[in-house]
Amino acid sequence: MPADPEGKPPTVTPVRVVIALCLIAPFVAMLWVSSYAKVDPTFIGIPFFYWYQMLWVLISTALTVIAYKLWQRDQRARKGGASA
Amino acid sequence: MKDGVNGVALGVFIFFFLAVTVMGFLAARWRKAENDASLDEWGLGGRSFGTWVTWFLLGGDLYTAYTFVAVPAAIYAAGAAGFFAVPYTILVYPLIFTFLPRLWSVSHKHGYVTTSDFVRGRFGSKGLSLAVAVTGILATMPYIALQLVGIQAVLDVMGVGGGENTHWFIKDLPLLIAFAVLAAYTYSSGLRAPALIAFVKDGLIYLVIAVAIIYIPMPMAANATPANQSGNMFSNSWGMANCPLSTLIPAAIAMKPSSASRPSISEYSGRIVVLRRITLRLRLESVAVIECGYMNSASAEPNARVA
Repeated sequence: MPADPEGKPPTVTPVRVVIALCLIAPFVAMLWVSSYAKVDPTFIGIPFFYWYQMLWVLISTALTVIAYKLWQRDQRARKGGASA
Repeated sequence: MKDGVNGVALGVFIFFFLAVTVMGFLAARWRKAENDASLDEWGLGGRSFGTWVTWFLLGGDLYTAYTFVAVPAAIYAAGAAGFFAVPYTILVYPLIFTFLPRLWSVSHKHGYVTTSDFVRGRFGSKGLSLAVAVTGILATMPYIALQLVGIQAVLDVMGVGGGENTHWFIKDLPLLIAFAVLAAYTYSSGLRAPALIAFVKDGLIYLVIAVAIIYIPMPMAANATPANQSGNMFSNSWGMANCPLSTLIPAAIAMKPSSASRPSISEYSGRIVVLRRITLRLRLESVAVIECGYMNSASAEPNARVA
C-alpha cells in the first residue's frame, strides 16, 4: 500500500509475516474441525469440542490485537521514514 | 388468551420499549451537525462516531435475536452443529480487520456512503453497483425476518403473543406496533438512533450474559442428573446451561423468569422450529431427541426458576 518512491523498504518483512500468521492462524485452527471434534479432555465437565472453540475466541482476540499493534508500528515506521 | 401474561416481565418490557423509543427519536439531536439533511448525516452519523460509539454500535448490531434466540435454539435442536456460530464469529474478525480499514479509508476519501457507492466508484459500473445493492437488500430480508420471529418469541414468553385461535391481526399487532415504532425513529434519526440505543442494548446484553453464566446454572446444577452428563456431543444433552438456554434467554431478556405462567409450550416450540428452519439449513440429526428435549425443558424449568 505505501508506494514509496525512493524509501523502498521491502514489501515482505519479518514483521509482516508475523502479522499474516496471526491473522491466518484462526482459520487453520477453526476450519480444521477434525482436530477438535472430540469429547476428551473435558474441562469442568464441558466437552473438548465446546471449550476449545470458546478458548479460541480469546486466542484469536489476542492474535488480532498483536497484529494490530505490529501493523501500527510498521505503518508509523514507514510514514516516519517517508516524511523525513 | 391473556391469562398467561406475566405482569413484571411485561412491565419491564414496556419500560424499556418506551425508553428506547424516546431515545430513538431524541437521537436526531444527538451530536447534531449543521447540515443534517445530507445522506452522510442520516446514514453514517456524519462519519463522526469515534472508537467508543462504534464499538457499542457494532456490539448492538452484531449480537441480536440471532445470537440470543436463533443460535441457542439451533444448538438446542441440532446439538454441536449449531455451534457453527462460534468459529464463524471468530473468523469474521480477522477478515474485518484485514479488509475494512481499507474500505473505510477509500470511502472516507471519496465520500462513499454504501457498498454500492464504493463498487460504482471503483469499477465505474452502474450494473455491478445495482447488483451489489440488490444483493444487500435481499440478504438482509431473512435477517430482518429472523429478528421479527425473535421479537415474537419474546412476546410469546410474556404471554402477549396470542393463542392458536387468535385472529392473525390481533396476534401480530404487538409485532406490527414494535416494528412501526422502530421504523419511525430510524427514519427520523438515521444511524444515530441505533447508535444511541446500542448503549442500552449492550448493557442489557451484558446483563443477560451475567444471568446466563451465573444465575441460570445455579439451580440447574442442583437439579442435574447423571443422565445429563452422558457427554454425547451430537445429542443435545451435556447438561448445565446449554440445553434450556433457548427458552430461558427470552425470559432473561425480560429480566424476570416467567416461572410456570407460560401460555403454551407447544406453541412456543413451534416458534423454535420456525427459527431453526430460517437459520439453519442443516439436516435434523434426531427428531426424537429434539422432542424429548422440549419435554425435558418444559418439566425442568419451573423447578429451576422458582429455586
